[in-house]
Amino acid sequence: MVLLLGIGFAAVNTGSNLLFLLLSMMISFLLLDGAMAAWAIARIQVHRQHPLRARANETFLVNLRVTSRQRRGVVFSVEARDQIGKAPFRRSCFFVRLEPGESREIAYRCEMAHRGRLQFTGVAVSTRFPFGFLEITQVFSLPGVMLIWPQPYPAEIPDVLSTETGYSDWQSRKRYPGDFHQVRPYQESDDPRYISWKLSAAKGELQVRENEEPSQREVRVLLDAASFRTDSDRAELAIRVTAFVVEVLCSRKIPVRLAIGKEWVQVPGESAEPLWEMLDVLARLDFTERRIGSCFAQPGDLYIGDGECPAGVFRVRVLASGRTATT
Amino acid sequence: MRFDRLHRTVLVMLAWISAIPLLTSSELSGFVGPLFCGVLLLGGVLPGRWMRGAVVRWGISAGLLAFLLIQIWRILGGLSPVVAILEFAPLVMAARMWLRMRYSSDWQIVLLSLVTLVGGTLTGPDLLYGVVVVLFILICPLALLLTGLRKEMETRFYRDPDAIHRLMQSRRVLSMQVVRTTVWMGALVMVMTVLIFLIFPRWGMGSGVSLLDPTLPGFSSEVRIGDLEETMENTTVYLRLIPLTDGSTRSGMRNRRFRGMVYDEYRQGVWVQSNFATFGRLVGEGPGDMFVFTLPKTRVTPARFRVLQKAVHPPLLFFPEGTFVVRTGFVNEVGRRRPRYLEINDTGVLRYEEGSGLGSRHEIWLGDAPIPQGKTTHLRRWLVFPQEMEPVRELAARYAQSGSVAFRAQKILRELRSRYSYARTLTPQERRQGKGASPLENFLFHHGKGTCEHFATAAVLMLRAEGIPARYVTGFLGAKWNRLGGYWSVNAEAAHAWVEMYIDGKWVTADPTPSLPGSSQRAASDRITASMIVDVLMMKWQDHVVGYDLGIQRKLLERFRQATSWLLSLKPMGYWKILGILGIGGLGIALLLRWRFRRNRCRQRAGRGSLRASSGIRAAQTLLTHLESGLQRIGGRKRRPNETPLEYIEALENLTDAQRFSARELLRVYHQCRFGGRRLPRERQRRILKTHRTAFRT
Repeated sequence: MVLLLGIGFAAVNTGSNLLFLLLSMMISFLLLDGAMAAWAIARIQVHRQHPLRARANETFLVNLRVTSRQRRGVVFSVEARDQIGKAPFRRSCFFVRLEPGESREIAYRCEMAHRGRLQFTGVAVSTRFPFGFLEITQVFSLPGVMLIWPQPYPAEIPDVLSTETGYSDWQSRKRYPGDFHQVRPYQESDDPRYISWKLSAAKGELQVRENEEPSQREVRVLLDAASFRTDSDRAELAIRVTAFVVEVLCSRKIPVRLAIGKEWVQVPGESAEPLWEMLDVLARLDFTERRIGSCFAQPGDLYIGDGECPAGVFRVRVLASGRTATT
Repeated sequence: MRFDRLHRTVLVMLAWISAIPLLTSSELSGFVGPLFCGVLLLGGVLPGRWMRGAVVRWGISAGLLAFLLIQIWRILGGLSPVVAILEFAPLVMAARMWLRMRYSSDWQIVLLSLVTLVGGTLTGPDLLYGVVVVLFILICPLALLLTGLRKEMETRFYRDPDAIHRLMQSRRVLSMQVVRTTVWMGALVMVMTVLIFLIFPRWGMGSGVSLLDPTLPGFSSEVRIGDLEETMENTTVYLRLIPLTDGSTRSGMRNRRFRGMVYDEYRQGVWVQSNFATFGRLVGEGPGDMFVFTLPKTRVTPARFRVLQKAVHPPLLFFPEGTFVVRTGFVNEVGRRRPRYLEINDTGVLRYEEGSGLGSRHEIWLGDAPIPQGKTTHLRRWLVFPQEMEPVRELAARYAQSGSVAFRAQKILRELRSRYSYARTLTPQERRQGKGASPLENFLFHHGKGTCEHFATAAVLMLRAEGIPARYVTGFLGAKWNRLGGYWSVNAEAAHAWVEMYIDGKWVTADPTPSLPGSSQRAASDRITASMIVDVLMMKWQDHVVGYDLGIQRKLLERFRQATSWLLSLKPMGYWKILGILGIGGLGIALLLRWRFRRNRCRQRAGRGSLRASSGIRAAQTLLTHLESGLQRIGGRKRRPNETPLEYIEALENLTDAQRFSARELLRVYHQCRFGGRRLPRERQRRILKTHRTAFRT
């Protein structure tokens, strides 16, 4: 541009037609650059593919597919930049060459620091093709939403399962924890510890005693979000602890029922993916909302919060230091 | 083609093309051209890994620094700084070819090539520059595309040097189609350049800068005998006269004299304008820019010419004898034009106002006007005879004998023509004669051979010795008719010297030279030759591009207005008729589009519509041909018409397992290309066929 202005000044100053010729040439290059760049991205289509859920501080991939609808003419140097929320376009994918009608995909890595609702707004496609003087950008509106689950915060979970409910070794007993159901011949996959030696001796072959499945008792996790209303850091920590607790319990296949304030989030059996649903709620949770009231914990519940709770309630306290304490 | 290799080649071409105007200019030192070409070509040819060494890089940098110091030293010694910079710029560009490591070096080369092209405007506005600009416009898009692409790749993949290297070495990034596209872009740029050039307002200040030395030997204020010979060796066209009236095409320009400079004093072999060098502004007597400086003898219909004259220093206006009106061109100033003024001295020598360094464009009216007479009170000055030439006086007396002034003058001229001969070169023996004497003495008293300068000088001195006022005149003799361009051209070969003598109260022209130097050229001027074609192109370039100004712009605008006035004349036709014409035109366009659409669809159906389909199908056919010929050679029979290729492979019993496997693989690729829309690059196809040939070798 400096050279263009310099030549323009020299041309006007001297009146030399050769300099006017060079000036015309440079202006032509600029105009053609702009026109070609606009032509190159005029018939480009963009599609975005992204996961619906991801965890905070974990990397996930967002796929951008750029398709050239040009009937002729190769397009070079196309950059697609994604926009998240109202932030400027940052996440970029670069395509060196796009043939006419060709479709190419590139994924970029993304990592969000906080839980919440991630809103994709649009994709800016820009190119400096062909000469690199000008950058022409076209913004495509491509709305998309994904949820960022809270990152689990490892905490010490009170042994809610062993004291009253007898669930502590439920995991190890699996198929044989309930009342007597029947006796049947031994099969190879059966646990030898459940062979009834007395009956086996009587019948002349190995017999196994089979018990009924126990009635599944749920663990109720109560997140008293209202109690953290004034301390957002601790509130976030509490949400992360809740996510951890819920995940651990679900991984042990223990039915979990989550309450945030006074509202039950999830009832066992109502959802195919209860853990996802609970994490979704935790991702979306706005603890400053006034309608979230305090919890009413009952004995045996797992209470996460700062409020008062009766005796017999298992409690996880989130300390100001960022640590947790269980009682 | 490989990205890096093509990029380097294009940059070398761009650098070389942009430097041509500078390298061919005589203003720059002779060593710059070979040095530049050598460094540039080596930088473009040698492998990149050789140049990455620290020794080479430091060596090149040290060489540049040394050259810079030399240039500074030369500037201190009197070299023009502009010339020094123009000599340095191409070498910097060539050195960048050696030091190009990243895209920034490539950008610098492109920018330096543009700067060099700008510098070329200072060295000469001839046709070569136009050719260079056209080539530059054609190549520059590809250079810019590749440089921009390299920049993008290096910027995006800066964390992955291997990826950059792979892309640079890749043959897939670029194809011939891309190169063709960029050439089309160049053509588009050229069209746009012409349009912008035409419509860009000429508001120039007119302070032109030129490195050209327009001094023409034989026409400066002091000329030595022998200077004109130097000019006569030149073939540059200095004047072009375009006839503007019907009768002026053949009006005796072949033997017309174009008056230039007039000299009065002869001192030791040098003609000097001593007493009559004072020029005064010629006052226009005609309307506006027309200057009438002498009146014709009779009332003949004047021939009118437009004259394009190359710049000379001092800015003499060469005009053919018989000219009586000069209409000067215009000088562009800030946003306005004013007539270019003329200066004239007492001998009728005309000078034009110089400013742009581009010469003069003017019109002349040609009749039978006498040469400007000047003031008769100064006649004594035309009689000054140098003391050292006394032998010439004796010779003049012997030749002139006695009689009237006119008779004696004619006698002297006749004696000169008969006793002496015209020769541009002398034999070694002739050169040895009269060693130590002046050129004129040698001519008159020893070998008797010389050019028009010798004849004219001898004639002037002899006439003065006889008391006849005489003056030495230089100019051009004769013009060549360019049939192709329809104009007269006068080149430097026609430079000539003659005599003007004052007889019977007026100045008359006389030529003592026996054989006219340009006669052979003039005789052959009716044929269309290559030089004639080049001259026409150069004239068009000078006239339409270099000389394009506000006046021509206005004329073009007027012509455009006239050309489009038919649109206004449609109004009386009535709107229904206009609508009818538009409707018919629209229908025609619609039919044309439909025909194109149907043709494209037919082509697509035939597999020729898109590049992808056609290349895949062609590749498939090639593979199948090779497969079948190999199988036929080994199996000993052709594939039957009712047999599929796979059945054919399975039916042949004398195939080895490896051959059968290879044939199946080839068939698989064939199916993918023929029916699966797969593209098969040429390189991959070659590799597959090579593997296939290896397997089928018996």
